[in-house]
Amino acid sequence: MLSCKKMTDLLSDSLETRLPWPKRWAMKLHLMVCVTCRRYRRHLLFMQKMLAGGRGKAMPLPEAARLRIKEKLAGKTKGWD
Amino acid sequence: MTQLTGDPAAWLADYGDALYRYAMLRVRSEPLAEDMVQETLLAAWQSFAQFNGQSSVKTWLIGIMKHKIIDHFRKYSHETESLDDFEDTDELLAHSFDADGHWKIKLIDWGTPDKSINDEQFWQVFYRCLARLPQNMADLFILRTVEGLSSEECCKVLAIETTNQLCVALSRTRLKLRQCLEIQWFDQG
Ligand SMILES: [Zn+2]
Repeated sequence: MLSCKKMTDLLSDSLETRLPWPKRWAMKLHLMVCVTCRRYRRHLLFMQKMLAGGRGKAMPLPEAARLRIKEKLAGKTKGWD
Repeated sequence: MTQLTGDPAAWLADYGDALYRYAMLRVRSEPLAEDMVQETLLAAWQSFAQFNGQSSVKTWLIGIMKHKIIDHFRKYSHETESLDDFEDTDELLAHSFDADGHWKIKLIDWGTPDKSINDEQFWQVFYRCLARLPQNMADLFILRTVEGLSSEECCKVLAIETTNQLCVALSRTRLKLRQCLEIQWFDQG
């Protein structure tokens, strides 16, 4: 059976890509009997959801800052091209 | 974008949000993040001749900003920077697993994200934990998870050689971030 340490890597990988079925099967078996890895999996999904869908995305460049940057860039890049 | 001269105004319009978000997650200061976006675009404009088109403009700009952020931390951080960012990860692994690779720590039930997602204090802790990660790890996690850069792009920006190394690094980063959140937030009640 897979070790829990190996499981943490596979659980992380499974967030990146679709794993081949033997790996998915082995994970499934491990998760059936290991409460801590089940919990670890939930924690990974938790963090993923917080960043990918949550506040991470909701931090646009403020309009005032955008204008300031635009002006400064225009001043500094003027006449060079 | 195929013009011969770079167009900082267009980059600002297209990638301003992404650059700002990345800077904010790393330096946690609005004026500083704003400066960094400006400096990045200026540096990009000055070095546009070196842009070879092998990566997307976004990835190229993020790569430039990554160096700006590193410079910032070199100048203003008193923490000594470890040459091997993944160094004390070994300690965390030893703390977490026994010799057979089985958990030797208990994990707390975190509940569902929906509650924490609206909790301002939780976000403060989350940002603190993100800031505590070694620089490579923080960059990797932000670029992959928040910005959704592809594995290949992440490897390019972060000078990681193979996607396998990238996967291992991401796994270690998640282990670390999880540990920090558990101690700093969930274990406080
Ligand atoms: Zn397990």
